[in-house]
Amino acid sequence: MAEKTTTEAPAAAPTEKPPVPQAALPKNGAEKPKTDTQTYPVGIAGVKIEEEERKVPATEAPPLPINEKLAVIGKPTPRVDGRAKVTGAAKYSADINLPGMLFAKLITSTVPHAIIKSIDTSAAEKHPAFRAIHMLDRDRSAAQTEEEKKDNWPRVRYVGQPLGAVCAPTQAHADDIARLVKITYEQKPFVVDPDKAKEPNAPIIFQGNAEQAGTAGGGGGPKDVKQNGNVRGPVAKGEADKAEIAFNSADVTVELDFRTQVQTHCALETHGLVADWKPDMLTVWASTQGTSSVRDELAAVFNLKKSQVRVITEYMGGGFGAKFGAGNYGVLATHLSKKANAPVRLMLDRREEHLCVGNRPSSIQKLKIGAKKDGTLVAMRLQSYGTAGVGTGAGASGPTQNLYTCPAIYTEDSDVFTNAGPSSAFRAPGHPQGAFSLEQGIDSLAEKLKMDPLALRDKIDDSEARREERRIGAERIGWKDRKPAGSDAGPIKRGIGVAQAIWYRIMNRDSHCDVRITQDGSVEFLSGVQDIGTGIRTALAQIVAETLGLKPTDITVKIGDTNYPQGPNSGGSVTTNSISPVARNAAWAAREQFLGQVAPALGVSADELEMADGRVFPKNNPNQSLTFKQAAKKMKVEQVAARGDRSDDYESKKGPRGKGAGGLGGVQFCQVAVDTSTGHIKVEKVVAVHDCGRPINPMGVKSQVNGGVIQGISYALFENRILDRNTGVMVNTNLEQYKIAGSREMPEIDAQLIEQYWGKSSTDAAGIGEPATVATAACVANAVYNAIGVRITQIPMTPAVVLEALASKQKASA
Amino acid sequence: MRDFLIIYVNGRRHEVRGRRAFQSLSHFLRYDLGLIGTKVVCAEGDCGSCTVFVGRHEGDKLTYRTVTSCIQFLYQLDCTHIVTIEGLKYDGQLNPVQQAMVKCQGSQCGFCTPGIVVSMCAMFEKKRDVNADDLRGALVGNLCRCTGYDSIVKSGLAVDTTTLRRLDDLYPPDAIVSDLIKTAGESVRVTDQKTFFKAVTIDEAARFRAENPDCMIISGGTDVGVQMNKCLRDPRSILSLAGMQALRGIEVKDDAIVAGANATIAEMEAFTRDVLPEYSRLLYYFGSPPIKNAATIGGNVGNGSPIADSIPAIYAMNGEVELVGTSGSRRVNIHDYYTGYKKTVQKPDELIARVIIPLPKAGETLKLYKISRRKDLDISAFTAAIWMRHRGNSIDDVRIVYGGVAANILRLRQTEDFLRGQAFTLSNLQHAGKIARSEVKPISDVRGSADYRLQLGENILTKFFIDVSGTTSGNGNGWNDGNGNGNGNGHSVDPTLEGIAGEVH
Ligand SMILES: Cc1cc2nc3c(=O)[nH]c(=O)nc-3n(C[C@H](O)[C@H](O)[C@H](O)COP(=O)(O)OP(=O)(O)OC[C@H]3O[C@@H](n4cnc5c(N)ncnc54)[C@H](O)[C@@H]3O)c2cc1C
Ligand code: FES
Ligand code: FES
Repeated sequence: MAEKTTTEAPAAAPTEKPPVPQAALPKNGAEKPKTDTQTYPVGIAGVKIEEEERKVPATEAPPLPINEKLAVIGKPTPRVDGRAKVTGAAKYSADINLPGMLFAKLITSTVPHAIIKSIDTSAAEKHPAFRAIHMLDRDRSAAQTEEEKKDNWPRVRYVGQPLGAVCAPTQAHADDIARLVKITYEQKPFVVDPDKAKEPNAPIIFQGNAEQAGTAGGGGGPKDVKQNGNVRGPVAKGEADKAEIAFNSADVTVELDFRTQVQTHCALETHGLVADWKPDMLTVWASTQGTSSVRDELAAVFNLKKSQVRVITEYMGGGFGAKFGAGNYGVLATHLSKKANAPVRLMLDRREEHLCVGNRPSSIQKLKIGAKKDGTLVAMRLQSYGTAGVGTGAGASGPTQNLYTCPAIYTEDSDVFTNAGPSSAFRAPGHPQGAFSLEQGIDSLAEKLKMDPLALRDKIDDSEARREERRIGAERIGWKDRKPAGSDAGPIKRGIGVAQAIWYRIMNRDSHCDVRITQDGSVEFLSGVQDIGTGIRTALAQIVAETLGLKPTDITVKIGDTNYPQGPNSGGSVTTNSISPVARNAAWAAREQFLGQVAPALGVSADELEMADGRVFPKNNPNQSLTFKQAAKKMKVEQVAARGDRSDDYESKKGPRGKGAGGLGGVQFCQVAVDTSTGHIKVEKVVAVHDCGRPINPMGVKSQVNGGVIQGISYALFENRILDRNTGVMVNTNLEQYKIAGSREMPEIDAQLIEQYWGKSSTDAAGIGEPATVATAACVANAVYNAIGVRITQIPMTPAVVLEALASKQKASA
Repeated sequence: MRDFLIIYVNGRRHEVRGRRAFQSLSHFLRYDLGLIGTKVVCAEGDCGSCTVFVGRHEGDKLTYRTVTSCIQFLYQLDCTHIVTIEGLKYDGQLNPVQQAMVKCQGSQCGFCTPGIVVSMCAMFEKKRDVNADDLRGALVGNLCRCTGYDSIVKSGLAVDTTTLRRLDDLYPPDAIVSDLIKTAGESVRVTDQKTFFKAVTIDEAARFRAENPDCMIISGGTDVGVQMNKCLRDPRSILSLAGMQALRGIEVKDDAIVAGANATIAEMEAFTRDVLPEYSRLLYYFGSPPIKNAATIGGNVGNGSPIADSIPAIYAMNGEVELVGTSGSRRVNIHDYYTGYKKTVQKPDELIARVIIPLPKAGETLKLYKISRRKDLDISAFTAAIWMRHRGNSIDDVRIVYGGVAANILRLRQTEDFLRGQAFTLSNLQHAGKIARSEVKPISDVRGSADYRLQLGENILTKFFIDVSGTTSGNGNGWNDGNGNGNGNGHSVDPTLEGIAGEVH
């Protein structure tokens, strides 16, 4: 397998040697952890691994060899919280039930665009079960103009916008009482259709420049962007003129228009939290991707010290980018708890979840690609409009800017405000949209050039990871048997397609943890970082276990609590990249202290000791060993503890070169069957080949890949937020009419991983949540084209859309 | 008459009184009993996160079926044994399904996991030797946003079936059943601001109905549960039919299926597998296993939705609805039963006792179509039932019924008139399609546009011809001309998938 990709692989090969002074240092850094130059494996396992030196802070744990040589890291490991999940014992925010707890219900707008004239709460307050009410002064999740910050009440800009909340001893009472609040509106003209909203005489949604405060997970576009009517932008990247000139030198060009819909996150657990206000301490159980982001926002709003706010997220039922900060609901629940002097639970219902806590913006894209006869790209241009409702950040240009080598790339992203719920970060913000256009554009280009789509990508993509991924995927899907587009006879036509992903190696240095070893042999890991389902809890147990020669189940991982050291937020695939080196560093430091404590009992010095297989022993005399537990008893103190911190990426400019090498890759293939008589598309098989640096737990990584694939297929075929343009009401605020993929719509998923080493941190691990979702919709579309010979440039590809596309092709050919 | 409910949960007996008796089952489990493993995600029966077992005694046995507890109310569940995720461990240890789900990473965020485990255990109660298709079929009612189902299916395939135990083994039925036999024959009435009455005999049900003409009848609750959770309905008095043995049972009598109103869709699907396979195949795609286990034929007819799946066949077969009231029973032809959108000839004291569906005779053909955006667990955008009697190559008689094209299920009389006496040819059916198109006036909604429905209304007759004749002869253009045709769900059943949704013994 490996011999195919030679060491002379073009462009992306890590040819540049780091210009480090060649200090004469021992290679086996493990023996001398306090040095500041270390040797790291760099490259792709099974293809080519080289050793490279890096200058690293003295506090860093020594380098790990590649996974093959490790005992725990890189081995498929069932999740350590599996038992709690399969027995129903795992307690989510929605399950927290405190003594005396009250239930809250949002008061939401019933009109799409209005100024609030008056609010009459008297009827609500007379209800015997009424406990408290709080009305918001602004919509914390949406964009806002400077001028309206003075208003008493929020401007109403969409149906379902949170305006306030009430609480009562039962949910049913709270629901009833919320309906008793009378709001008088001065209604204004509205628009929910982005095409209409772009027109010059459309109702204006924001008078004056509007900015959306971003949260840790994104949401909110770039700041200080010019605004014209409802159009905010464009935000341009690259030089327009340069691209225009470059297009003149192209032998072939393709120009295509694309449309993608608004997708809502549909995490099974809705947004919400339980807030318990006490005079000296606010405790919050939140369904969040960032415990510290909730703490920070609540501390700011309520003028508390951060030390007076404790946020706990033991288990959470999915977020996909939408769950950061306290949100309108969190601020409301806290106000209510303070006013009612009791804990308050505010969990959104499914309707509210669809409406007011985020979505993936839509897009209307115009793509042009110019290339030479041999496939070399000369210019690319993307113009994209999208609606993030009353939010910002609908850009889709990421993939066009970052995936392929091209000398002239020009992109323009514009937001179009509409009277609809604001967007928020959603698994690889902007990228599934952008890949949907770019990857179909590249396939069209390949067809025009009469090139195989993979051969073209080999030519224009300098990522070494994706090159290997294309090779693996092509073999597993059976690419060589791929037929010409639309060549199947009969009404059911099959096709194979490919599409690529790009994401970035992002990390958050504000990532810390403690590792503690106690005399009874218990080992604890503590950090504020939360496990949102990704399995970081298990990965952290593996890292600590590897370092101490133990099993993952020997480690007690205590996370999701701001009482522990500050952890990173879980969004943008930063978590593993941020916290895993920290765990490794802390575990290593704890190990050193521990060995220092027990060495005298073994009659050797600490640096002569090794830990493996649950034992502690002198390296030169493995037979003279103690079990870990026995050794722990020999400690002179009750407990040793060490703090781990995230250093900067090692010599961050070093490592693989080339455009594609800057990020994470991912290549997906799929096979579809299209019933041309009904328009139904069935995805029959997916091969998803991905990379995330060093995979800590391949089982967890593959699970993430599967999750990205299902959300991509669901996006490609089913999901669509539908707004009634006459009333502004979303008509499918449930899981019945808002369809997400079910068990029989999902094919077998063949998730494959490559191990890529960069020498950038003590674990060299990166994230996977985002890349896995980027390529899927594009991949399905390319496969559909291969099946029926008609390019579908719009999602969701419903039966009606497919039939229409087939019919217009027939008309065209008639 | 009792004034409290008797409900067993995970082997423990509970008496539920007063206001608490009006709760949904999921609410009762989560708040009264603290059994938080049962999750509520959609509160409309669509996601399966709240799936639990309901055991009802049948003779001296307890028969368990899964239901979605968010749309089941306690007053439907008197004298039942509920088993939740918390009750599925074996002596405090993980059962083989749970073990496999841990081992194969069947869970990610875990919010769907309890429901998935319950559904999978239900499948294994019925069938041990399962393949991937069985598993996907059993999980049609369970949504998972995280895993892509792949690892869940792999978990199911990895279950050590030799160590599986039955619910009867975990909860010896004798003690529970003997209690339930004593108490199940009692009617129950609870008043706390609202009133519900659980009737046992038709007589007392009709009397309650006569005294409370505005009362809401509830059978399986899969329609009214959704309506109540959406606050579209808040009845002062409720008549629960769930305990009425007289409304159960399905038989063939005088060449017709006679189904008690309480017959569930799952029971109908199983019963018609031999006697009217076309119907069974259609019902296979009705809702999901837990929905079919609760939903009744009486409820489907009583709800009277123009896109209800069980009804077009009753029209096409010229069936009847048997009503009972204080002054006895009567049969009404289905064509006379509905008088407007969700309006019927039913009198205030009457309820549906039986549904009668004549079986096709020799020379007669029945075809049923359910078209939705997604094959599984999706309310139809369009339904059709076509019955035809042949004489030689000509059409002796025909009934064509469409759902989803008008406020009520629609009989296409002009199209029928054209076809009667004509030769059974593709061109005649195509022409009939054009007439059908002019005869219907569909609207656009979330399930499909008016144009899409018009096109389906036209194409379905061509599809019928092809399905029946097995040929497209006589037309060079063919039926896959890109203009769209019926989905024909009724024709693509994988036989290996059968038997999952049925009841559990
Ligand atoms: C997730 C989900 C999926 C679904 N999928 C489908 C589907 O694929 N196809 C489909 O057709 N439907 C579907 N439904 C709708 C519903 O399941 C059916 O209409 C079902 O047959 C209703 O039966 P029930 O016993 O649950 O009715 P209930 O909800 O108990 O009652 C429905 C109505 O009928 C009346 N009623 C009930 N019994 C009688 C009686 N004996 N006499 C007089 N009136 C009576 C009630 O008063 C009420 O108005 C689905 C529902 C859900 C929640
Ligand atoms: S909560 Fe979704 S089916 Fe009950
Ligand atoms: S594991 Fe998250 S929804 Fe299934």
